[in-house]
Amino acid sequence: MNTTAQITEVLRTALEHPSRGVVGLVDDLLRLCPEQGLRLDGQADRCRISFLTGDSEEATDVPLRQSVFRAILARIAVLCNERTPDSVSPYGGQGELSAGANPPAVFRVSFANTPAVHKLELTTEAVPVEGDRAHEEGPIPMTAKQGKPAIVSAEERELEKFVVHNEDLLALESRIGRFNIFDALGIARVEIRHSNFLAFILDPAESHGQGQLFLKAILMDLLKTAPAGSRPLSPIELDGTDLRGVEVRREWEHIDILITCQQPPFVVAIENKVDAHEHSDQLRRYKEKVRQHHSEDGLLVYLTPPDARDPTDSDWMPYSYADLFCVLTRVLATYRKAIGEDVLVFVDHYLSLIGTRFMNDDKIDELCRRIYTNHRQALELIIERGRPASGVLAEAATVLQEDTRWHVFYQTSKEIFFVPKAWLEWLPELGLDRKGDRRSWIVLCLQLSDERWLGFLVQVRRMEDVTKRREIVEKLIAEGQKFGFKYNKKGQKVTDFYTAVSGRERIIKWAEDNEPDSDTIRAAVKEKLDDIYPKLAGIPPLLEPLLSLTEPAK
Amino acid sequence: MAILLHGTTLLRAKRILAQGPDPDFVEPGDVARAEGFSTCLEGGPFPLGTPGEYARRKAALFPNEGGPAILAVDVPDDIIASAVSEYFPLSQGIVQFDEGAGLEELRAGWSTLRKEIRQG
Repeated sequence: MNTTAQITEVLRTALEHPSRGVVGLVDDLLRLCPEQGLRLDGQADRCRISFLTGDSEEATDVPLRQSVFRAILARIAVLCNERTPDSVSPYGGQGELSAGANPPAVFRVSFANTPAVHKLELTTEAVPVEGDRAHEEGPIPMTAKQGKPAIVSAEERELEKFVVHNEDLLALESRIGRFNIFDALGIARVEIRHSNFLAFILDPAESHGQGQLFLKAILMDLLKTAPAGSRPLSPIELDGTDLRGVEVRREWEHIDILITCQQPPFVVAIENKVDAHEHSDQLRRYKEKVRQHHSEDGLLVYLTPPDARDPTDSDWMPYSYADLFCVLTRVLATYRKAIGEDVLVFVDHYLSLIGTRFMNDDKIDELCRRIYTNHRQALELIIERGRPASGVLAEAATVLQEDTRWHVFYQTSKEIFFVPKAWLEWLPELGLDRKGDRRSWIVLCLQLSDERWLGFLVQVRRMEDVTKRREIVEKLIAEGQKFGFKYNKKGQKVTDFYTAVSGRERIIKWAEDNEPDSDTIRAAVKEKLDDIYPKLAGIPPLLEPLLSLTEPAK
Repeated sequence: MAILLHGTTLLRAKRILAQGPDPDFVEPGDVARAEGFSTCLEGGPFPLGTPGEYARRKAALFPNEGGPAILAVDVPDDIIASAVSEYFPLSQGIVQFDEGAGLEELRAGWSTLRKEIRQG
C-alpha cells in the first residue's frame, strides 16, 4: 500500500515533469488520487498538495505555473461535463467525473478556477469489486487488492496509459530497440559468442582485414589500465613495435581468450563474464595454467559489464565492457575510412549492443526512471501477470485457436480455460468468477506445471448457488471417468470456490532446457483434444437435471 | 502561421483586438492579474473545452459585456513555438501564452497580426 509520502512524491514528479501535457497530468492526478482524497491549492506560482484527511503539516508545495493549474481545472471541468452535461462551469463548481472503463472509477470534484482562487478537491467513490480472491487455484482475477476501491478500472487505465501516447516508452524503444545483428543472432548476453567476436577482431590473421589495428588498440588500453608491476610490456614498447607471431586462442584450458605473442614475448589471458559469476576457484586455476605453460608475468584480464563484482583473485585485472566500448569507439572514429564497410557495420552493431546492454547510459537511465515513476502500477501489473506463456502453452493455445470445436474463455501465463463451442448454447450464466462471461463456471483447463509438464484437468469454478454447485461437483467427480476425466487417486477436495473435478493428466513432459518442438507439442495437445471431445457430449445431459432445479440466488 | 482562438466577451475581445493581450488585466470583482493569454488551435483538439463554450460562460458571468465573442488571431509559427512547453504540447491544441513563454513575443508582434472577432 502506498503511503501518503510516496503518493506525494509521485504527484510531485508528475506535476514537475509531465510527459503527456496537461491532459496526461490530469490523468495522473486521477490515477494517483488516494482513497482519502486529494486537495490541490494554487498559491502564486506554486501548488500545495495535501490529503483530505491528513493534517496540514503533511502538505507539500510544488512549483507550478498558475496557467498550468488553471488548465488542469479546465480539464477537470470538461471531464465533469462529459459525465453530466453542464454540471459545472470551467470557472468552478461541484460535480462528478468518471475515468477508465469496466467499470469506470468515479471521482467527486469540487473546484474553483478564477484568477484569484484556484483549488481542487478530489475524492474517489468506491466501485463494487469483482468478487473475492479466496480461491485455491486458477488465474488471478482482475479484482481489488487489499480492498482498494475502483482498482479494477484503475488497472486497465494504467495499462492503457502505459501503451498509448507513452512518449518516454517510444523514446526508450527507439534508443534500445534498433536492429542489431547480434541481437538478431541471439548473442546479446551469451558469453561464449561475445568471446568469439572479441577473439575475431583481436586476431590479426582473421578476415576482418585490419591486421593488428584492433589488437594493438585494445592491448594499449589494457596496458595503460594495468598497474605498472603487472605489465608484460610497457605501452611505449607496444606503440613502437610490430607484433610478430601473434596467436589468439579460444578456450585454451577453458580460458575464454588467450593472446600469445612471440616478439615481443608476452601473454594476455581474458576471462569474460557477461552474466555468470566466477565458479570453483576458476581464476586461480587459470592463472596457474598460464604461468605453468607460458609466462610468470602474463597479463590476466577479467572482462565484465560495469558494476560487476571484482575478481576474487587480485592478480586478475578488472576491465569492463565500458572500457572496451571506449577503445573500439576511438578506433572507429580514427580509422573509419580505412576499415571495410562490412567490418564497420559489424563493429558498429557490436558497439551499439554493449553500449545499450552493458553500459550506464544517462538518457536510458532517465527514461527508465520516468517510465517507472509515471507507470509504476502498470509495470508492476505486467511483471506480476504478463510473463509470456512458455512456448508449450503458446503452442497449445494455437492448437485451440485453430480448432473450431473449442471456445477459449481466457488464458493466463500458465493456464488456458476453454470449453467445447457447442456448450456455449447450453451453459447457463451462473458463474461468479468472470463477469464478462458467466458461463465459465465449468471449464476444461490446459495447465503448465512448474515441473515441466503440460496437464489437462476439468474444473468447476465459483457459482451463485453454492448448494447446487456442490451437487454438480459431486456428480462430476462420481461420474467423470465416463467422460474421459482422469481418476484422482488422492480424491478431490471439494470447496465452494475452485474445484478440480478430475485428476491432472499429463499430456506432455520434458527435461530442463529441452522444451519439445512445436510439432511434438501440437500433436500431444491435439491427441488429447480429439480424445476428449466426443466424450464431453455426455456432460450436458448429466448436469441438466441439476441445473434445471437450480433456484436463482437470493 | 496558425489561427488561434480565444473565447471571451465582446467587450474584452474588442479591447484585446485593439491593444493586445494584457497580463495586467483584472476581471471586475477580482483581485488577481490575468498573467497569461489562453488560446487554442482553430482546428482543435479542445481538451479544455471549446472557445465557444468559454465565450458563453464568460458572457453569462458578465452580462453587461456585450455577449459571447471569439477572437481569432493568425499567429506565426515561431511565436507559437515559444509558447509550447511540456505542459502544453501543440498536439493537445492548447497554446498558452505566459510571461516568459511567448506572451512578450505575441504582444510585440500583435499590431502586425491578422485578427478578427467572430460571433461566440
